Amino acid sequence: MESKKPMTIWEKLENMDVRYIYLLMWVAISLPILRPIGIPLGRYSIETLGLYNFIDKLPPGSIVVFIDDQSPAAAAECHPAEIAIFQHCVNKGLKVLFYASRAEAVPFIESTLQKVLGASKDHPDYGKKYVNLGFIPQYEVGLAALAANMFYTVKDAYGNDIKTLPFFQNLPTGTAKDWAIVIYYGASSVDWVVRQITDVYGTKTGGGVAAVLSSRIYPYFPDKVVGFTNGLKGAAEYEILVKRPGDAAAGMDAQSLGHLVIVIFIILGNLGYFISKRRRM
Amino acid sequence: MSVDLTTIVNLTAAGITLMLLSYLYKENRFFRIAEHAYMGAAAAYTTLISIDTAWTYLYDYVSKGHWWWWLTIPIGLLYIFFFTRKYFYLYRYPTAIVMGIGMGTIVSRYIKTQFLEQIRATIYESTTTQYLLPKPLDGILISIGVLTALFYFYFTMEFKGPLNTIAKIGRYTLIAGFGGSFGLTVMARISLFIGRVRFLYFTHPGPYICVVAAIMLIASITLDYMKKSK
Amino acid sequence: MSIVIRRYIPWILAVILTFFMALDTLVLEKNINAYAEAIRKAQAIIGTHAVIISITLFTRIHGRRVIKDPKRIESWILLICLWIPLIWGLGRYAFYGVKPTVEPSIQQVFSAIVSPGDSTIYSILVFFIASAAYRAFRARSMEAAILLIAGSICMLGNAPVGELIWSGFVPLKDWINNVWVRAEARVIIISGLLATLALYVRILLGYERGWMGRGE
Repeated sequence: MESKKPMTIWEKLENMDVRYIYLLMWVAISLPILRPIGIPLGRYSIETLGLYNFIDKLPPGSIVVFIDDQSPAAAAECHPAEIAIFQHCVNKGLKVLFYASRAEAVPFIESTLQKVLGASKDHPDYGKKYVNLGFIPQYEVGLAALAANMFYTVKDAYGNDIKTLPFFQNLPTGTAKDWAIVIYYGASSVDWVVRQITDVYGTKTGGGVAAVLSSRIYPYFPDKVVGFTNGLKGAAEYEILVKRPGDAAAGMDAQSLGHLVIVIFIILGNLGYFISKRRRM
Repeated sequence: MSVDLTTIVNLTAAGITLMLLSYLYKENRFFRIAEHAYMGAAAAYTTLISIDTAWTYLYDYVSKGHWWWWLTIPIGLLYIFFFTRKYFYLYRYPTAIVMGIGMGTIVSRYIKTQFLEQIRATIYESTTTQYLLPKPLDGILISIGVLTALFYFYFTMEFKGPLNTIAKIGRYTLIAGFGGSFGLTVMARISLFIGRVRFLYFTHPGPYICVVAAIMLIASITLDYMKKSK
Repeated sequence: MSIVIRRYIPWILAVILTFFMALDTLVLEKNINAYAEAIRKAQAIIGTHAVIISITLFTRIHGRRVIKDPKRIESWILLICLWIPLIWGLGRYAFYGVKPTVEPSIQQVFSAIVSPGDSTIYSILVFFIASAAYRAFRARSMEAAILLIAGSICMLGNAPVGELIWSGFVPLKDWINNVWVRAEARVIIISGLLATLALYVRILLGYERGWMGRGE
């Protein structure tokens, strides 16, 4: 009868129940949230600074369009960015036009208005400086229609006739040419915004995007997409830049530890693999 | 004792979150219940918002006396024939309309943005880009990467000798890009979980629900361990 | 005649609309642009009706399940969470004019069920990534090694702690993102365009009939 070789520590670790890994991950992310470590954010990324500097240089009264395309899943990264960027626009006296390209993003516009202004349709500047057009369906076709004619939706999200709103008075062309920048919030794709707005009307694009989308934006950066907040870290950077630390900045310690744990797992897993391989050889 | 609506909403949200997270221990009935609740509610919410928008657009025309706009409703209702065998072809009409309009809006701009502009940007960046290496090395790397990776996707001939080397460089470019994308994806997923955890720990009555969930988890682990021992 | 109605008329309709909308994107003629805007609104109204398919499918599949086995709680929950908000929201809209975006009970359903459900389902992936990082990501070949090294550098560059460990992670991460990720994404974009154009041409020429669904 063959005697079984005792398992090495590496083999034991390799065959460990996967739920211990889940527990370790949960603890690594929870601990810094319950007890912040205070790791400094570090230098601002070029992507975030690109967007911040562009908005900072806009003259007061410029029209900024926010396209909310975030699902509740992407909102964890996009919503803090949207709040910070909207705060920046409010500080600079810019006019902001909101619309949602998906039904689930509609409440986030309301939440942004409430968190920055304290009110939405009841705010004295609503209709003059800030308008919420609500949900415009069909993604790219809807954006193309809005870009060609800003009065496309006829009514805003609250049922007001947009022709009566001061925001829409005295527009030079009533098209996307009047917009200073379009900022996309979401996780699907920024291609359609660049296609329908930047390459047609010349209006630049920006992003408050989930990190999973960032890789698809680099081909357009910085020529057509002047800048974007890259996930939660980018949102945290923007919050610090506008001096309004919020949910994103609070989550950075957990972000650090989570990343560190995954890198350690990769190193440990590969170490174990190579050591076991050498032993077998 | 009065309980306000916000507490009930937060209680439900925390409950749904933890029921879905229970999948990490093992697949269970709580997870399935939460998953089904989410699917039903999401479908209902999307439908309501879509109906509101469609009615706003329709009312704008019919209120001006353009009665022919009412025809959009029966055309849209042809979608229901998706479920029939005999009249399935009627489902193709609204599909053709939606698809045709979408294709027409996109096609000319697609070619400009995703082909001509990308080629222009690659040529422009080959001399202007500088991130780590001295100019114009970074730009040249981008151009080489794009060209070799496009070459890698050319499947109609066998790569031998120098062609194989070019395809290999293209493959490594793609893989390095995927590595970067992986790093970004990890950040995205961790951020999502951070959002959930912050909600559970800091929104009343999340912490109480967490304690209840922890007790249930310990009980479940104990029961499983006892079953295994038998 | 039958095949004309079943196949050719939908196909010709798609072709005509494609060309008209493409014309709208290329010319600045007032009448064409006005008609195109009206057509886009019609598309928005017609396209909205596609939700009928999802609601009918849910009701049919889960309705059959509860009839067959009334103890199937999950299906009951789905049907309740689907139909009660829908009927209530439609009733409030039709009889009281309260839009779903401002109707408090509908927004509460969103906050209580849809938002946490969507976020949590995707956030579970972080655990699977951690598990895969430990058990599956092995540098078995040159390609895998490049992927893992690039991924690890980007992860440490993205997290604030990376800069504390070594300040070089951030410029390296920027380099990988702006050179290699840019090149890779550009290739995917160009390849995607060629594939999509090929598909559009096939649809317009009538060779591609997958969009027509099953049947003749």
